[in-house]
Amino acid sequence: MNKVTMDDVTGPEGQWTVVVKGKVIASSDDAQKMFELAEKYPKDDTVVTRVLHPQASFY
Amino acid sequence: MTTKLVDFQFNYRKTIALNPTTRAPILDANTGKTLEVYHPIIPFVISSEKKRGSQTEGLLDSGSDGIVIPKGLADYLSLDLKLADRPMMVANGRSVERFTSKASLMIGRGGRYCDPIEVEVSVPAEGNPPILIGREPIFRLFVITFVEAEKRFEMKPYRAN
Repeated sequence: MNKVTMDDVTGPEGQWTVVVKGKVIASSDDAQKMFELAEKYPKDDTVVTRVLHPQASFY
Repeated sequence: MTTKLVDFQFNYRKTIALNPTTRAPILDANTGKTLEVYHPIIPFVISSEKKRGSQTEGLLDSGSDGIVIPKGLADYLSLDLKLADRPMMVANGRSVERFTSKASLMIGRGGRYCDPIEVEVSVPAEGNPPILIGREPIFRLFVITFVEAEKRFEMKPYRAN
């Protein structure tokens, strides 16, 4: 499992990830699925984040 | 009643991106070392009238006019989407149709939050962007200072003189 702190993240590029207590427990292209999955975990311990492409420009 | 805003300071987020297939770190083409990138990421909880999302994060993006969220998140929140009169211009110069809707942002994390801020969000009709926190309304409500040399940023509620 990839570890995550508040200030860093390691995960598959471009994907939405569910992080619970500092561990990436799931990742997907589908944001909706990841937010739905996050509902199953304690809110205080859970973050849904996106692993940004390292060399991308955005909107 | 006024919205209570508070000061924040956040370190930039360090990202080590992995190849989604091999799960190996993506390497810097020049040095061959693991590529580490830093972004100003702002934590918040986003909600609609129907649903409260989990804690999430967006890229603080002064080059974006407003707040952009992907369609998947809009669907999760059951947002009422309206086709916008004007499309959005994306970084590669293309014009993309977009929807707009209303949502609420509660900035913060770890039990320290400001009051919910009512915002308009843009939802591109195509693509899967990260959440982008552009200028309206966050850069109007806060004075935001990027301390690039220290890889951190500060947000202070704007108060007119």
